[in-house]
Amino acid sequence: MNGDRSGVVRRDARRSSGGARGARAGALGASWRHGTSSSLSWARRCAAGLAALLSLSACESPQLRRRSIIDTDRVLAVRVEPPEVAPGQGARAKVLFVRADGRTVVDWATEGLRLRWRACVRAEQVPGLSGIQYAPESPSEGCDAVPDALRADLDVHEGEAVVSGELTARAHAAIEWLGAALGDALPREVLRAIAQDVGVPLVLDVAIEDEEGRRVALAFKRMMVSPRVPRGTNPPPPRLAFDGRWLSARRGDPHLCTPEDGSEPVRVESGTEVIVAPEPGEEAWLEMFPVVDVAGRIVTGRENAYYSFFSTAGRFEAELTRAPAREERWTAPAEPGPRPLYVVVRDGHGGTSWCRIDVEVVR
Amino acid sequence: MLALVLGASTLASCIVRAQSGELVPPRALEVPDVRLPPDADPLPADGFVELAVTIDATGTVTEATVLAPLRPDVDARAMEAALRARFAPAMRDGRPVPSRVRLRLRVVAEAREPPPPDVRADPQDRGEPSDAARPVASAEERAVDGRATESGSQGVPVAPTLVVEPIESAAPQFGARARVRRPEPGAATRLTLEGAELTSVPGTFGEPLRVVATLPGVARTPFGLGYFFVRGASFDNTGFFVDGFPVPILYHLGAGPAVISSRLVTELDFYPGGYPVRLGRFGAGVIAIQTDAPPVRGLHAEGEVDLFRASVLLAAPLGDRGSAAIAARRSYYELLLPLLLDGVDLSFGDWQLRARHRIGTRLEASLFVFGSDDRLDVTQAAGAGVSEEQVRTGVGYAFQRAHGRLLARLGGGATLAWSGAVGRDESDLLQREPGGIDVRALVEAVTLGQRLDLVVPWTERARSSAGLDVWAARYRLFSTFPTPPGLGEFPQPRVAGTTTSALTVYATQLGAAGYVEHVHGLGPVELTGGLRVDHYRYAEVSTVELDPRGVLRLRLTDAVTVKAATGLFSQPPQPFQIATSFGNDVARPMRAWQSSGGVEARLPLDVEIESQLFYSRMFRLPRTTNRLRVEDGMLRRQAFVDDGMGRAWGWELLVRRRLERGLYGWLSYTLSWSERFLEGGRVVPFFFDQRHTLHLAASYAVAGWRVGARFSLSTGRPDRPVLGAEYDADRDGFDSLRGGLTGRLPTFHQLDLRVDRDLRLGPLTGSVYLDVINVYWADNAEGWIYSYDFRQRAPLPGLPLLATVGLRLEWSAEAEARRDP
Repeated sequence: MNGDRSGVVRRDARRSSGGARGARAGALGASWRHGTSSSLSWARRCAAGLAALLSLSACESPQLRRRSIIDTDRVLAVRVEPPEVAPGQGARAKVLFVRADGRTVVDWATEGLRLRWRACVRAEQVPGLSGIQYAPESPSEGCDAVPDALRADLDVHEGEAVVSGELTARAHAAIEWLGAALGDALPREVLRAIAQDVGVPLVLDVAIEDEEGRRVALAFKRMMVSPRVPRGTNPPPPRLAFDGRWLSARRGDPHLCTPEDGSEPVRVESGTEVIVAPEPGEEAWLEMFPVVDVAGRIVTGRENAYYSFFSTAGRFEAELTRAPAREERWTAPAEPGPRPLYVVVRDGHGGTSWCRIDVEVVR
Repeated sequence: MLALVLGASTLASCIVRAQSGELVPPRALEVPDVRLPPDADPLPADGFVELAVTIDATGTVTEATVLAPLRPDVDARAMEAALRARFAPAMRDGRPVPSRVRLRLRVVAEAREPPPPDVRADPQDRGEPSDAARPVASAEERAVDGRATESGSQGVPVAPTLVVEPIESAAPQFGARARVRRPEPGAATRLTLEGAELTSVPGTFGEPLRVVATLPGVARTPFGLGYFFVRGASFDNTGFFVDGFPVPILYHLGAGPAVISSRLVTELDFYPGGYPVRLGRFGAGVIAIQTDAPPVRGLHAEGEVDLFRASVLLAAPLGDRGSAAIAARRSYYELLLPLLLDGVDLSFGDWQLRARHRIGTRLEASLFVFGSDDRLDVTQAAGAGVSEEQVRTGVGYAFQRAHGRLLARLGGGATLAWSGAVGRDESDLLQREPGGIDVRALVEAVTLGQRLDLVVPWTERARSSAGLDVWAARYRLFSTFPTPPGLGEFPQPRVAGTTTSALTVYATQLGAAGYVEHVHGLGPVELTGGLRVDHYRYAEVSTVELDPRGVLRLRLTDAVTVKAATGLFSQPPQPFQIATSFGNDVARPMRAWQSSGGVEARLPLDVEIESQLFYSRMFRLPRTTNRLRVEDGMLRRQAFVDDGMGRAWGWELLVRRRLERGLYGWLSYTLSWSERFLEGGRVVPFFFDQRHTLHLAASYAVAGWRVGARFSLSTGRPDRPVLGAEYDADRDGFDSLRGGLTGRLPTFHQLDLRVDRDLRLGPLTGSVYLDVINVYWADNAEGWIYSYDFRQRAPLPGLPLLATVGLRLEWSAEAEARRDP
């Protein structure tokens, strides 16, 4: 039912290409077309005609680019390994950067790109961890406003940035500077509790520049520096049911999801809808972490699994899902050709993994 | 621009005169005197009642409507006199034809010096042709004779002054009793829009109370919402009052009409600043309306229907001691909008019961029960491209009120009024964001109010007033929101399934105020001084604010007056700003110091000019923050602090031709700066600062038609330009990198047109109209919609081209009886 042995999925799309809204607009359009013959009542036609003539009101929703469609060079995810470190412990970071045609950039020099990594303690990110956007009166100046001791340009080896243990140690000891920078936005005793029991966020900035030094993309990610144990880890690479066939990235390339049964590459018939379902059972890797609650007490929080989906064409129903409603529906585009499909999984507390599915859309 | 207006006025006047030469106006043969009871209150020396009188081809008055009321008891008798008047009918080509005239009954106070001639009412002074002036002169003659013979008798004679207009050029007066005034405190009326000036302004759908939005000092409101940014202040600093008590809204959503039938509104006072001490608790402007049941002598019915709404009003006399009226309105956008717009649901309705009854000669009781309900629900794709998920924005306002009033006439013109109010308010804001996250804020309130107002006129130019003003409100605030993570949780991707929290808190606000004011005129000078003392009690705050206010007017010549005003104003925080869970329970009332000065002048060609400068300084403004503080060992968020400061200054200009001979028009211009101070002394523009706001409105009536246009132009509000965006890899979303408020939205411009046609359908009179908003469909961005990565943007469109046709009809038993005795 879900696919024949050649791997081609055959199923009619059940939705129009415009989503729920498009479906409604389509239904309206259909009723208009039928209305000229029979189904539209006389009164309704009169009202509609009058309205069209005399009440020419309409709200035209501008069509902007969609988040799940890769149509420009962009960052899809940043991963730090490990995502949480002890003061003095180092880490490595890598970025998932894709070209507008969907290719993952691996060899940066060949692509004519250069990675610039920087790490610093950004004061606004500390209350920013409270989930409510901290809005300082002055626009954030990023790492530029941070003392030299609390920031560093990171070395890059094999496409990965190296965060030194020395920097994480200095970051965790930055309570006094943080207190001064935040003013009365956060009491000092709360700051100390955060540093001791929760951790101080170290922000990693990554800028991707072309050969002429022009910035192509800018992204940042937090990593937690905390003395607590155990510390958080990254989720494993996702395992997915792609229209019923299990794919995973746990063998070979850790970021390429392929059929577990070793069958042919994944093919999808153009215009068909595919269900992409991450494997249930995140309990095996979701973790607990300490939080300072609204009463100032240390309580325990729990990670959640978030799944983001991207491709160069087609239409996603939800774009972003969260367990247990982790399932996604992707309608393949009408045009045949290779269509990479990216799935990024986050644990909501700094942990990230991803994989790519190389899909061939066929007629 | 001024030359353009004056030139247009002159040209139109010439056209009117050329047309009036074809018609011989009606001539008054007999206008009965108007007599008041011996114990009636004194009347002002220069007052008048203006009526629209329809005269049939036999010279009999078939209909009379009060256009400019003076006082209910005088109005009723003036209308009675008008209906008993006899005329020589208007003539066209030698044959009698029906006509309509404006009948101005000028009050002549008994045993006083004759008042100075009303230059506006005297056609000779206007240089009008003798055809129009002749009947006026004869009426004046008889009136003068009558005054002489009646002097010293029991009645108060009223001298009729006729302003004759052929029926073809008579403006439709349907539904227009309200006068929009814009005086300084203690000053006489300086801007009065009447009759057709209220009901035929293009772009208002014939709603008189919407005209306020075109007056100087008022910045443009996005989407035609019924809120006003007045003299650089936030919309919540301008209050709406009905009969002295605050109401939450005065206008329906969706560029809708007022929440009270305009037939029940006798006056609308718009104070862009410096409002009188009898009103309070708002830091900027005030729109105050006074209501009354129409003074009908028989059953009276009105109805109006257009593409979007329908309304009805019924009025009846209560013996000879008062009258009562009921009115209701209901929109039916839900029938048409689904054909045009996907995901928009709008509805509103209102109802009123108004009654007034005289108890003896010195006591009057009135009751006003009314309510309103608005719902707007918009469901569409999130951010038009950010996500295909549906987002939903819902807005709802509802309130009910019961006002009672006892008015005692104490003799010598003094009055003492007690008023009481009880009401219920509800406002409901809902935002369903991608992922089904509901952010909702529901505020319910029960309100109580009491007023005691004493007015004592010592002399014609000296008047004192004092009173008490008590107001209490008990609020219930219910909100749902994404459960805020504790410190230590990372920002989460916004997705379905995120948990939400619900919070219910209560807040009580009490306000007790006393005020005293004295107006004194001496020669060319008129001085007004007042003091209002407000005691505020809410949350952990109990404080007293003293608000002194003063106005000086100096008449330089008969045509030129200069004026200056200054005063302090205070306003308590909004209930959600003092909620103990997330607000600031020690936030103090905001303060404003307002000053203005200017000049009023009358120019030839019936043109009036009012120009003034204003400056406002605002203190203790509520300011949003995200502070965390430790209180009693608990960590608390504090979303508001009260240390904001701001200032606004500018220039207002009004050039206006009053409604004369079928033509009216005005130019309204405001030059304004509004700024707020940030921490560290940095100054930024107020979010709705608009440097230039211009309105041009003109309307001309000819041969039963009235055609008008209004053009509006205003600077776009400040905007923070997006300099770039940074991808937050934990939240899986982009943060925009923005500069300061250095950019602005595009300039707003809009042209509205309106055409009215008088009609008569058997016993019904009325008009049919076409009103078109945004004729050339200007985009008029009200903001920007950004793509997910802020690289692409599209304008958030404002009101589109919006047109309606409507029909207004009225029936009066009294007019019917006169037509068919």
